[in-house]
Amino acid sequence: MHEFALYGQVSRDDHHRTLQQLAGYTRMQPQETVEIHLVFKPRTPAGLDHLPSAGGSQGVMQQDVQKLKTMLNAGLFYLQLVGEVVPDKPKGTENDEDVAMSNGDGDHAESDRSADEKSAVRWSLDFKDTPEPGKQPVSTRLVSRISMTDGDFVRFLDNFGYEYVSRYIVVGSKFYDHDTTLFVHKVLRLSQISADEAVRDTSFLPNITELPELDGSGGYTIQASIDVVDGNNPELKERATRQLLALKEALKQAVDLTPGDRLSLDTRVPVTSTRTQ
Amino acid sequence: MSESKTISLLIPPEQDSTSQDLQVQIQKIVAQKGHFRHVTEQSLLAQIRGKAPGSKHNDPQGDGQVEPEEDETPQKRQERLWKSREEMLERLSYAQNEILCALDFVSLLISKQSVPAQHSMSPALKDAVPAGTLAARVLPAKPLSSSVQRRLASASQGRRLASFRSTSIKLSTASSRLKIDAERETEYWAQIADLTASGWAVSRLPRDSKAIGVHFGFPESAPQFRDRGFALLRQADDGAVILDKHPIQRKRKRLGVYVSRNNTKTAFFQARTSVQKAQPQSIGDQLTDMRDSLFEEELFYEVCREARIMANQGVTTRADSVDLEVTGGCQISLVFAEQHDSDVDATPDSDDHIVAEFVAVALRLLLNAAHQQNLVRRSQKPPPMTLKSRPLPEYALIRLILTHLRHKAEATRFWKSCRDLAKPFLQAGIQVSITPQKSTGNLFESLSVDHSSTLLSEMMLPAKAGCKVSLTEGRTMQVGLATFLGPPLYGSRYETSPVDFGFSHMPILRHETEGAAVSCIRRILLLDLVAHVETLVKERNIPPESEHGPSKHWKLAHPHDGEFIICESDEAVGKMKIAVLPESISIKWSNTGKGSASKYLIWTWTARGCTKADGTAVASQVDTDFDQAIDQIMKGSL
Amino acid sequence: MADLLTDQVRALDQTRQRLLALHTSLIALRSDIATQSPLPSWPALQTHANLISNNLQTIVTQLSEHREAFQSTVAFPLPQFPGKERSFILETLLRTKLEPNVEEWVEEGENITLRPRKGDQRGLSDADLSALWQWAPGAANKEARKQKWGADFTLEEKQRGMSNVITGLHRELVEPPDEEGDEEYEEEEYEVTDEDEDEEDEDKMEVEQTKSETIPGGGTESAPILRSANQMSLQSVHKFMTTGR
Repeated sequence: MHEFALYGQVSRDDHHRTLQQLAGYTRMQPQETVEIHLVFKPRTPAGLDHLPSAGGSQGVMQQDVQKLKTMLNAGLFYLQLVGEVVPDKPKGTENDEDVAMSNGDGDHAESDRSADEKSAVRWSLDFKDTPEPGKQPVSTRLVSRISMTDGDFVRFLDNFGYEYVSRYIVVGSKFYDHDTTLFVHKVLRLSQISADEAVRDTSFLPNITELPELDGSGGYTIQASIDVVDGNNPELKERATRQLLALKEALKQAVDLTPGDRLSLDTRVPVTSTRTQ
Repeated sequence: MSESKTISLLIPPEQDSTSQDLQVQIQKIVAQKGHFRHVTEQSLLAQIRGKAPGSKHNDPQGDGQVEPEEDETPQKRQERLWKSREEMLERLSYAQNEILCALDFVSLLISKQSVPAQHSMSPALKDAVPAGTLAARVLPAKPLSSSVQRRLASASQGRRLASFRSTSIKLSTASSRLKIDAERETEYWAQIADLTASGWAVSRLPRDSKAIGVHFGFPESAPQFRDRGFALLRQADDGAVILDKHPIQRKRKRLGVYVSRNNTKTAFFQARTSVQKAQPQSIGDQLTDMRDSLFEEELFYEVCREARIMANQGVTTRADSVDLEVTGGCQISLVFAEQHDSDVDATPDSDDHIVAEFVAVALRLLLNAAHQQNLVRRSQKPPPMTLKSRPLPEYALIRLILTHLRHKAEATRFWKSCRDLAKPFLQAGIQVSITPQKSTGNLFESLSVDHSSTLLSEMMLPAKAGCKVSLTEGRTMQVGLATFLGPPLYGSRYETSPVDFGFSHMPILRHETEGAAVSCIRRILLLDLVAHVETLVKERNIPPESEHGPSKHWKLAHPHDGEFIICESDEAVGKMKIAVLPESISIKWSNTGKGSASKYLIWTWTARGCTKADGTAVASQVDTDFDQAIDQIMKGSL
Repeated sequence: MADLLTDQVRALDQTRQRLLALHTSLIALRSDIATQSPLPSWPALQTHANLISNNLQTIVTQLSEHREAFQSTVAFPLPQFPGKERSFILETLLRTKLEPNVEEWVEEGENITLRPRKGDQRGLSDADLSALWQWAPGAANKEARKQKWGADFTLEEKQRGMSNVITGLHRELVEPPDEEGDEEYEEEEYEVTDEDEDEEDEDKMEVEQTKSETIPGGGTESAPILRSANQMSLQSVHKFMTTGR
């Protein structure tokens, strides 16, 4: 699956107006979205350290060493576990506090705290490639989203050689227009805890507004994206691009949508050797 | 503001001086039209027809009063425009000529002293006259004669007066036009505000920022209907809001529902129509009308779309109607027409008109529900883009209606059969009853059809009905009936709950037809009777071997055939067969023992009573019930 | 009898330049009319008319400034002038008599002033009339000074409170500056932005509209989005979202 996307920014003061404009444009109410992101990164392959350092004096070997390093490092990408918080269905159930809300994989021990607010989280394993190089009218990248329903995610990833890095939370509003998803969101920081806890922890959800923002100015990011089953298909590619550019044109007075900066969207793990020289 | 402070800016008009002198006339014509060679017959004719374009400039009174005619055709306007243009060019030529003359004079005059001046001479002059050939002398200043001064003063005063007058006329024209415009705009916007206040969504047009339109359609309709649900709000001459003519002229067709039985129309229903055809309809009424007819059109379109995929279910599509075959003989026609023929042969006690109304109302509600579902679907993340286009699925409209109608027919038939089945039991005094019961919880659990929580979600589900069969010894059983035209049922299906009779256990059973279900119930009733008789037999069999020598006793031989045998020293000497027939139950006793002549006895209970056939004699035994009959048989045989 | 003085020549040269400018503006209008079918736009025509009228005005000013000198100057051909062959040119150039139609125009003006007003009994006496002429310019000027032109409200309306004026318009209207020249504009009342983000959830958005009418149609408020200076760059946000750091 490929993702075609354009990005933009909305300042805090413009946020409400932008939401209204998008609501008018897409003829729908904003869909409130909360996503917990757990970032994982692959462990450096063990063999890397045994290679002679690039600065060594092996002369003739230099090229081969470089090749090996590239091979070992190739395909080292960040992965994310994304937990979409499923909103509680009836909102007006505040009077019956006793409703026991527990959902399958949740830890019951911790649910004593604000049990009525505890929400279900739908997890999926997200992989995003680095956007394709070259000057493109829209950002294109390979993506894969596998929903994870059951099991020990952390151990699963561990066995695949991925270690937990950190977590954060994305809150915002989604709009849909044809194939396009418009997501106006901001990133909130979460206290860093161990991976196992991070998968279960939803205690912060009731008071999400008190979480510290990554961007102190309170600004929002907007992403307009289209998922395409096969982004290499020229017809689909053209269609998705056209749709996004039409959107960009239509919204140009509200928000400036541009392709993303490839470097900052780079999901490759930089080559680092644990051995310090 | 007292009146004394306001002064009229209008200056009394002057009479134009029109000299009849031919010389002056010619000069005037030259001034107005340029040289005679520019004047053509055509332009003069055009001038006579229209306005004299020259006069409006020479005549201060005419100035500003030249208003475009209201009913000016585009072509006329075009002509006028070209004429004005021509005239402008002529005047420009004249002015240019004058200026060039002056320029040439001044340039030549100072061409000796100033080199640049030589360049501003016209080429013709340069060719003809050498530079610096004109000189000037300054004479001692001499004041102008008083008569000339007075003349100049009065000329300029007169001109100024004239221009004040024309300005004042222009201003007052402008102000009255502004006033009219303001009134028009006020009227227009007040009406727009009224529309908004009464709930119509009014908005600008994306492409034409000046146009205002109103949304009267349904935002979640299929695109071709959604896009038509928008009309421009134009401004009439008096400022009133008028709808763009285009959409109004459509014919108002409506969907009417006919019920017919055996090719005779028995009922008709049509959604309420605004009958009044008075011309001055308010905008709101017009919009409501347009909305309704658009909705009707969409409804029929969607019904036809759905009907195409239901051709295998007894649905026929015609150009302007869709016929639904409910059950044998009963047909529903959805007719889309401007005028409906409401003459029907209504049978007084039938509830066909209720059916017609149900269909008409339900169809419309279902279309709304489909709209709502569209919104729900649109509010979810779209699936990834593929090469295949995603067609809008057919709405479930007539499927649901047919489901319910067929379900109702099916349930009615089934219920009648059940009642017929139960009547003999009542007569026979056996505690068996069949009572209708609300949806049976534990049946059809497998039927979890995915449905979103929209309005009418109840209707999206398979229709269900059920009844409870109370058997003897406190045994009960449930029968469920579910109807659904889609997968997995594709029609009606029955399900019976398990019953345990000791000698036999009936599991959950599914039946495809009413007949199968009824015969299954009949079999269960038979088994229940058998079980009942077995307990009776066990009671009667108590005095065993002691008194009589070789014991005679009854035992159950073939439970599923309802057959008991009486054994004497392990030899069958007689048998009793119980049967449950569609409208009766019977016991047939016969002795099969050797020696005595074969003898038989048949007891039969129907809904009306009981008969006993003993040999060839048939007697009506109204008061005998089943248990007594069994007693008699057993006594006679033991 | 004296030759032209340098000053006079200069004045004539200035006149010449003004005439040239006027001619240029006429040519511009002409070419505009010729190229644009059927006519140039109304504003364009107005601009041309303004230009031409300004040029005319300067010429008139110029002429009246040097009226005495010009009036007492006579032009004559030098012997070198091919007077015989080109007498027509000479006549055209030196003609001082007004063209008949101009003459008539002047006469008409005179007549307007001099003709006794027949139908009007309240005709002003000459003295009153000239008093009126004296008074009018000042009075008009005074009247004009009472307003700050170019705004959408009158000063009177402003004094009574602009919020009471029913305009029915939902766009920014220009408010006349205070008479003290106070340039500070008040905030428009209906432009209050909703700062409280918590309330957003309750606000139902207006969705019953076709696309893009919610997008301000080139109004002033839609000018390029001004990002508050301290907003984090998109790159930094993306970097964090990608790497979790």
